[in-house]
Amino acid sequence: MALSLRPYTNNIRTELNKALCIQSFPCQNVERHNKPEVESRDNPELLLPPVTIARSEKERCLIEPSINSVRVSLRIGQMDMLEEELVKMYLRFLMQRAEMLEVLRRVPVEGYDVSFLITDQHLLAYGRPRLVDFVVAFIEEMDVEISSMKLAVNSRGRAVATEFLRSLAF
Amino acid sequence: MPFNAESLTLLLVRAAGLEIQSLEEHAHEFGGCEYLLVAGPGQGGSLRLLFAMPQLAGPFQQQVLGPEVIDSVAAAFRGVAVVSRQPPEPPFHLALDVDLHLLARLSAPQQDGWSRSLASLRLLLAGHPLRQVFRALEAGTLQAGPPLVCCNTPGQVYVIKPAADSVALIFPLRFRSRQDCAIGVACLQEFVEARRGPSLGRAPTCSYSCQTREVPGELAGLDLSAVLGPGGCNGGYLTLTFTRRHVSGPQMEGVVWSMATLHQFVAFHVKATKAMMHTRMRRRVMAMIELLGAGGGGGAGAMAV
Repeated sequence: MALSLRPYTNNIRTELNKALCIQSFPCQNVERHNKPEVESRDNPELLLPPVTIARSEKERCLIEPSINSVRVSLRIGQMDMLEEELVKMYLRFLMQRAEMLEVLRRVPVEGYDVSFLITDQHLLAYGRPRLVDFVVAFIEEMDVEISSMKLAVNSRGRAVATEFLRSLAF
Repeated sequence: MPFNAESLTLLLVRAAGLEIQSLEEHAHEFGGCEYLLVAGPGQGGSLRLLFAMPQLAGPFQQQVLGPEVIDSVAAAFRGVAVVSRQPPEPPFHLALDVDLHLLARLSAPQQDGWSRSLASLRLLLAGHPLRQVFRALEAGTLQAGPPLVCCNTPGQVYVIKPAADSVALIFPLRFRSRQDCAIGVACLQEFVEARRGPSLGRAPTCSYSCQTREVPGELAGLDLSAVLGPGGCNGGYLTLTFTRRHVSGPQMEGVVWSMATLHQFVAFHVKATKAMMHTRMRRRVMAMIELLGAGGGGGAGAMAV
């Protein structure tokens, strides 16, 4: 992992550990319903102040806690058009399979590239350390994966171009 | 099952050795081209080969299907096939009557050669403007002249700019989506990098302009907005410059084919790159599921990707 990412992920880890102090809380408006308050936003008293951790202008993390759920939104830094499109392609691929990654939200929060919704049920099932590790590992591996995809595109392009020009070299 | 030129060749070779009662076979090729082989008892020992290609705008249709081109096709197949006097039924543009009896009397290598030529009818038509220029370059009679806009694929054009001792081919590239554009531009930039490699010193000179503001000098004064459509040229301009040694001898047909189908070549590799990305992403999804829930939590990982 790049050392430059360490302060960013350490701060996210700290804030997530604080935000993931959640518990089961039934809906106050509808009987026998249990909704993630961070999504329904019916009761402002159940929502905690959101926290934004910014690595740069283009890369930031928004943590929105509530009493029974936490929403984590990530904006991935992109240098050029190819990176932008690779990030979009990759995240759209992931979000279409959100049911396999239970904590992944199908649609990101506006202004961000990907969002996670962690409820008290997820906390019971996976435990706080695993969830925090997952989010941090996602950020770290996202960087690595996008870089390697970009390299793969360029390598493939170079191989194709070399073969094409070789067929014309007389 | 789609045919390709190999299959069409095989069919023609086999047909040459058989008494055919009736035959009707369609073959589709990339870029919307179609071949149709028809034979029947009333055709007197000949096989009718029909060819269709996508409809192009008026002047471009003349470039690949005009009278001069048809004459060159007739000359190329003289003795083995004739251009049919009966106009082909739509959507076909050209019909050849192949003399099967003559093909049957030839040796196997000759049959194979003629069959390959017939199966390459598209190359004769689509590559006609390029072939004319390359032949003049090979003969040393080429003179500098204005750029010539050519098209054999709807929505994609290329420009031939002849000089005294070389020919520059400029390909304005259009991609359908921003994603294709990003991948295509990355691949096309590698053409320039690859050309600098030590083993490709004899390849044609290659340059790439990735912004619409940096229109190549060969296109100065030429307005392509009408032919490129509303999207314009979002993939930049790839320029290849050929000299006499690149087009002298038997390699000319290979060069013509490569240049006439460059747009489809780039589109194919953009699509293949996307497929490669999807394969990588599937592996990453499985790795992430293992990271989150190995042995823990609900249905994570239960469904196949």
